[in-house]
Amino acid sequence: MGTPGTAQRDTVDASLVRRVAQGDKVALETLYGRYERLVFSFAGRILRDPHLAEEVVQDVFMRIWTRAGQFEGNRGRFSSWLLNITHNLAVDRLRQARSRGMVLVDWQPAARAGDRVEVDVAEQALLAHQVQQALTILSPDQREALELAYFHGLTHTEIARRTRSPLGTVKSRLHHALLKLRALLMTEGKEADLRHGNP
Amino acid sequence: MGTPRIAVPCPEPEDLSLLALGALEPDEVAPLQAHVERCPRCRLQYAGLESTVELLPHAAPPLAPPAGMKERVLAAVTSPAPAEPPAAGGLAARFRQGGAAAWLRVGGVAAVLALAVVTGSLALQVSHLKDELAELEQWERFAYDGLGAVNASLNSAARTGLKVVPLEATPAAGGAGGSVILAPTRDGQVKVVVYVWKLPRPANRQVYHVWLVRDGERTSGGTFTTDYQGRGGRMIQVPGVDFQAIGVTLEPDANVMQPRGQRVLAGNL
Repeated sequence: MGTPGTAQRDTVDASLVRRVAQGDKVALETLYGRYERLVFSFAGRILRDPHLAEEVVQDVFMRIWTRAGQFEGNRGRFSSWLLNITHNLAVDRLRQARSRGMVLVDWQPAARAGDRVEVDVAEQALLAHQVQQALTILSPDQREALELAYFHGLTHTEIARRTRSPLGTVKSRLHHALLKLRALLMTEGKEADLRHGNP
Repeated sequence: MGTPRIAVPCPEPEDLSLLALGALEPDEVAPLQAHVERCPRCRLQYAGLESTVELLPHAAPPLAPPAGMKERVLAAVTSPAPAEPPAAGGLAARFRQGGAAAWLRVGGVAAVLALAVVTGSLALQVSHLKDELAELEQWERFAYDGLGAVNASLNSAARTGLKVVPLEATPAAGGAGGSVILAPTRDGQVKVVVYVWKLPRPANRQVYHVWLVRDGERTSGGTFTTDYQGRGGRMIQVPGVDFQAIGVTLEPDANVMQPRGQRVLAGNL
């Protein structure tokens, strides 16, 4: 359902992953260059620590390097696989930290005043803007539940406890949040475009 | 005649959303996944939810990767003998053994500024911090959005009691200094703000590592670096102060299980 642009990106990714599976370091470096910022930003969003985010980036690409052969191009896109690995590794770290009794203060990193907006981040920034805009359409309760579930790695029972809401209410908020986002973001062909930088 | 098959009812759509978001309890995942795999209707519904979730990473504001990260990561990944296999157990093990945890590197300055404002009675204890305020106001390194949250919680903390503990430099870090500020939060926890000054900026992958010392055992309190003037900080939140001391070491990288570098600062609570 993607556009020619997304299809081309998928094809290139799939080709690179095949080469990585054969031990091609140049292909790995190319893949890294294509996704470094996205993976780092996503890990940073979850962990809120640049050192830990870098560690996750390393673990993610270690996994790509050692398990590229497990990627099945006919079952999904490389970027989805990559971001899923990133999410799992980052949330795993977050949950381990919590199990040790540490909790995060609610905080979101913002671009520092001195950061330059480079040309190559414009695409990602635009994507981020579109998804962030869609998130603003959610009710505050829905947005909070989604934030806690996806970016803080809390389970539905933990969210219920944190927000002092009935379990059924939390489930309903999360479900309707996703339905609303889907309706906003996934018009025909847009889903693939969004995920691949062709808004 | 075979055993009659018992139809397994489809899960509620809400549960499929939880599965897509990774928000189920661990023991709920496998049965639901198994159902989705064999139920075409749920599989279709789940695919739609999953593809929506796959957009969420893009909500992360773009962050500039640190200088040299590409070289470090690629070197570590493709080196003949990687330091750490990529198995999930490795990650967990590293964490259990005190590897860097997901704590907040934020607002050391913001917290110190806020503390100084709201705690006149602590003027003596924080006098050395106040001396830094003029410079701190110009310090953009920690100019994050967390300031509002920090201020809000400290307003309460100021009423319920703060504790400031000096961090003394070891001979390895002559001239450096630091403070630990313990600030109770509204929900009964404690914010621990570690703020340091005149610590040399770490080289390459080196980081300063905060350790909470509890009955002789050290638990990671996270890492930080310092700016060109040697200032840096770290804020964590803990359920209670059950540790007796705090130390800061200079480590070769953020991925350490126990302190192995030089101790540079220490303070007893």
